Parts: sequence; structure tokens; C-alpha cells
Amino acid sequence: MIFGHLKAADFTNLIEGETIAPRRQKHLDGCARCQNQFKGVEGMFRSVSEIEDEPLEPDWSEFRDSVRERMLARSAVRSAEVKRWAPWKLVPAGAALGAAIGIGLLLHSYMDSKQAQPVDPAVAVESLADAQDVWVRASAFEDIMTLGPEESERFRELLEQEVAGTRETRGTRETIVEQ
Amino acid sequence: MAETLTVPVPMSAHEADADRNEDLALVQQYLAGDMRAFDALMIRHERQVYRACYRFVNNREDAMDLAQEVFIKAFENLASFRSEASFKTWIYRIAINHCINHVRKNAREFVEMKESTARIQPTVQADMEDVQKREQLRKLVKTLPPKQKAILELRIHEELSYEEIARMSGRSVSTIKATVFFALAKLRKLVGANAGGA
Repeated sequence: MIFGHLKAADFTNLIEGETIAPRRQKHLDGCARCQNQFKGVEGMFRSVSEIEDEPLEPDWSEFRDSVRERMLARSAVRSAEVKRWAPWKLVPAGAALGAAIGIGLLLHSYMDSKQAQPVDPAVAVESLADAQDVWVRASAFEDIMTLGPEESERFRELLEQEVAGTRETRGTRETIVEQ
Repeated sequence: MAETLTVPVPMSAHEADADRNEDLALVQQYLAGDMRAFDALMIRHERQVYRACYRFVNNREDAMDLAQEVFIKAFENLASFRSEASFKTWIYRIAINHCINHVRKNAREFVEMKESTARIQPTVQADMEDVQKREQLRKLVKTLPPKQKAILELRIHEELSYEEIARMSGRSVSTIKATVFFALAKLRKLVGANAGGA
């Protein structure tokens, strides 16, 4: 039987006395190559088991002391490293952070100055009325400028009359107030 | 002198649970600041960890150094230990990973050692006595790739089950079984070449 040879794990299972799948067992029974391989590795497993290979053991109390010392040394080195690098490693980082905050504040205040100041609503309404008044007066002025000479003269007279009337009214009011 | 053969008795499920709970209690005591638990945990596992390391490096000094590093690593990371796995499995896993990394880093050194032991092979005589044969085989085992050798020895000499080795090394059981087979097949080839060369 050429195909379906046993797999590596199958040989180990056989060495350990475990059963393998019936199909594989059937193959082994009829395959000289697999049988030869099995006998070879099984013999080798037994030979290795017979080797006296006991490791030389250390002095265990010395071993424990050494573990303790090494752990202490490592923690001492670690804490020394922290002490050594912490100050100078934190200073540049702090300075960089401070500089970033400073630049941010400067930029913020610059942007603020560029923006319009907040306006009181009452003042805003007054300003709007003033603006409208100016616009009305400017329109009247333009009208006057476009009048002809006669119309201008008549308009001047009308204004003078109006002014005279206002003075009279004011004089009467002042007299009443004085009384 | 008559040799005594010690056959390890497998631990019952109840004993294994008690063992695991005792480890867990010691871990908690250590984390709570009880330094006596530090020694107690080491005493319970130092021998097995050392022996596992020895299987990778084959000498006392390196094995001791590696085992110490394993304990330091374990104690420094004890807070990350999850009680779902047993402490034994956990520390073995650290040991095996640490040894594999060590072997990788020192690959050149291992190749040199392999070459130096390989030079011994032609001097072996075909009719050597059993003791000599065993000694020769011991030397040939050392020439195996470190991971293969360690897995073979963890199974044969440390008598760990395939499931335990798989859990500790983070590999599947069938991979571990296959590794054992390939190690044995390679040894067989080496012994055959050795006998042929003599």
C-alpha cells in the first residue's frame, strides 16, 4: 500500500500505546514501510528513556537569594532611571505646553479685537434712528440742491417763516414757564 | 549498587485542584504584600522550572540563570496572572517562551555546540558497550534542534503529558506529538549514520 501512510502524530500515539483510527491501523498492518518506521522510533523512544540525564541541581536557597537580589537591583535601577530622567524630560515638555497656551491666548485676543464689539439693543435702535434721520436730511439737501433759482428763493422764504414761527412759539413757552 | 526506579504517581483531579488552589492563595497573598508567599511559590515550582530550562541549554549555569529570569518575569507580571489557568501552567509557559527566545538569540552558539558534538560521532565504535551507547545517544540528543530536544525531554524525562506541554508552549497537542516523532526519527537517522561511519 503506497498511499495513506501514517502521520507523525499517529506514530507517537502508537508509541504511547494509544489507539489510532481503524483505517490507519489497517494501513499499518499492510504497510512494511510504516511498520519499519514505527519499530525504529519506538526503539529510539525506549533508548532515550533509558538515558540517565539528571540535571545537576543548584543550591536552592542560593537560587532564591539570587532571584530576590536581582529583583531588588532591577527595581532600584528602574527608580533611579525615573529620578534621573523625570526633571529634565518634564521641563521642555512643560515649556512647550506653556508656549502653546501663550500663542493660543495671543491669537484669541487678536481675533477678538478684529470682531465687532457687542452693542446694547437700546443704543442700536437709537443709532438706527439717527442713521435714518441723517438719510432723510441728506435727501432733503439733495432736493434743495436740485431746485431752480426761483424755487430755491421760495423755499428759503418758507424756511425763514418757519424759523420765525418756531421762535415765537418758543418765546411764548418760555414766558409761560417764567410765569 | 542497586538502582531504585521511581515511578511518578499521577496526581488525582482532587489533588490537582487542591494544588492549584494553594498556588492561587499564595499568589493573592503575594499581591497583598506578603513576602513569605514569594518564597513559598518559588519553593513549589523552582525545581520544575529549572529542569525545563536545563532541557533547552544543557548546562547548570545557563539553566539557573534562565530559571531566575523566569521567576523575576513571573513575579513582575503576577498581577496579570489570570486564575483560569493554573500557576504551574502559567509559569511553565513563561519558562518555555523565555527559553525559546534565548535559544533564538544564541542560535550561533548552539550551531557551534552542535558541530563540536558532531565531530565526536566518527570516533564511536560499532561494538561499544551499552553504557557507551547510552552516553553516545545522550550526546546525539544534545545535537537535536533545541525546541525539538526540549519537547522530547519534557515528555520523556520530565514526564509531562502531551496536553501539558501543548498548554505550556501554546501549541496544539498534535504539533507536540509530531515534534516528538520528528525528534525520534532524526535521532534514529543520526544513530544509523554513526553506525555506518564507524
